[in-house]
Amino acid sequence: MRRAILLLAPSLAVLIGIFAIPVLLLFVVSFWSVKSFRLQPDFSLAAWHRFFTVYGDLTLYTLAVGLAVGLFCTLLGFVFAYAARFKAGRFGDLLLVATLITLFGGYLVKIYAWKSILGADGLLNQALMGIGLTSQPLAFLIYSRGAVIIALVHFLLPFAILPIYASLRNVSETTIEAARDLGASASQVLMRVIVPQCLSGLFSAFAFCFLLAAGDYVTPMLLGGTSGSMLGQFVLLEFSTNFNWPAGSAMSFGLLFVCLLVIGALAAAGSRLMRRGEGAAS
Amino acid sequence: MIWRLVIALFLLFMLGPILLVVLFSFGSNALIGFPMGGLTLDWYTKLAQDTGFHSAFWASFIVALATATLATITGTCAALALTKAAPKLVRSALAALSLPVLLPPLVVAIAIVVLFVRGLGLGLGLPVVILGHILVAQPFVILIVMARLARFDQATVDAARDLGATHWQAFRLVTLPQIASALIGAGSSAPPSRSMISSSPPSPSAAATRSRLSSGARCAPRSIPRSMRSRRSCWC
Repeated sequence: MRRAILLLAPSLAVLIGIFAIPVLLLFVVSFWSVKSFRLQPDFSLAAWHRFFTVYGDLTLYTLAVGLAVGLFCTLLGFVFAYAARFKAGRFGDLLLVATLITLFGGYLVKIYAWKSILGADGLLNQALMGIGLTSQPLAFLIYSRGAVIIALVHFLLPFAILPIYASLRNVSETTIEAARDLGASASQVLMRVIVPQCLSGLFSAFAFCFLLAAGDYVTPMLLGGTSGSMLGQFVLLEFSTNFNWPAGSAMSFGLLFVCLLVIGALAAAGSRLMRRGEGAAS
Repeated sequence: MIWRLVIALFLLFMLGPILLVVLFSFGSNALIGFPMGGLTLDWYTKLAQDTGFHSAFWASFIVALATATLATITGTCAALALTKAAPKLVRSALAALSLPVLLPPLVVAIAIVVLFVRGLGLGLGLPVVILGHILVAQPFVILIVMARLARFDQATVDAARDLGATHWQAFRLVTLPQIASALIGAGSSAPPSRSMISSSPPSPSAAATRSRLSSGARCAPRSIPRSMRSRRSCWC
């Protein structure tokens, strides 16, 4: 037992020193105030007030982007993981290797790639003008919400595929064949046999992609333009240019709490749906 | 048949953009687009002459190497402790240690900045960057090493202990050689999963700098600035 504690000590020290204490301090700072660019340790709700009044709409919009990215990633990740698990045969492992390669592709490289695909003189516009669909480059392809969502889905898709594939690996072919033998249609097999068994993988894929997408600031900064701004950029702005650390802290935690609320609500709805499904099945 | 098409489309979406960047880093045209002009290594020569890139590259390299080494050590220790622990402890320890990965990197990074600058009065620098990276890398190491230890024959360690080996000897001579490949996998996969240019091969960084070189004049604020890269790698 003492050995176990000793072995856990280094990782826990990093966790506490570099994560728990800083995050708690950040939470405390969100109640401080700023007077003439100096932090004042007191108890003020000004920063939280600012979050709700100034950044309320932007928070909702950021959540919408996060939800869209999370849903796309989960759906696409499931299709790809399903294909790799059941349809690709011996190439399944190769597809996973391809997934891992894109994980290592780097974050800015992917954004840069999308810039050169969606940009005004990018590949897509060149192709569209080449086949004569449009005479002018389409400006809305880049610096828009769509561009942000595409780039985020591209970046986060591997993170969705891996947990879904891991949970699909535990779905045995026997249960699927049994369902088919008993006369289940393809969609019934999918919805009543496969999906219920990999629900935890689907959920963790969604939660991960949603949280990371909602908290991102680099992609909207480089691909979002003015219409695709997200809260993360303004957190950074409050910390750097405005030197309003309390506001930045309140916004960070505000976004986090709202995200956790969304995930909690989805988890509750999901488990209720599952119970009703079981009730109907029995 | 239809599944082949689906898989092909997925691979095109996932790998296409990355391959595009690599491909056009060898093209002589400054802009990405077909025809791409002749093949050239000019961009790489330009990169090699860019002194700013040298310091950024070495900083990335040091961070990647230090993170890989240290996170593998802390993560492996934790994995060794957790394989023999009660399931309840395992679950809660894993959940706690994985929390930093689940929070937006921006929040974690800013919290670290607040602690080091305001709380401790220290500056920021590579050591802080490395610590921040260890934080998000160690859960991956723990998961990989625990998966390996689950298939590990504990009897070999017990035999070594029976024959008079100390804990450390048993680990070094029996456990370590058996899990070495998992450790190498964990060490090399953990750090780059969240940081961008740490341990990246020259081509993607070349492409990033290339964007700065090629599009700098046209849309300077929109190109990927070096300050951004260092800021992000600095804040996790």
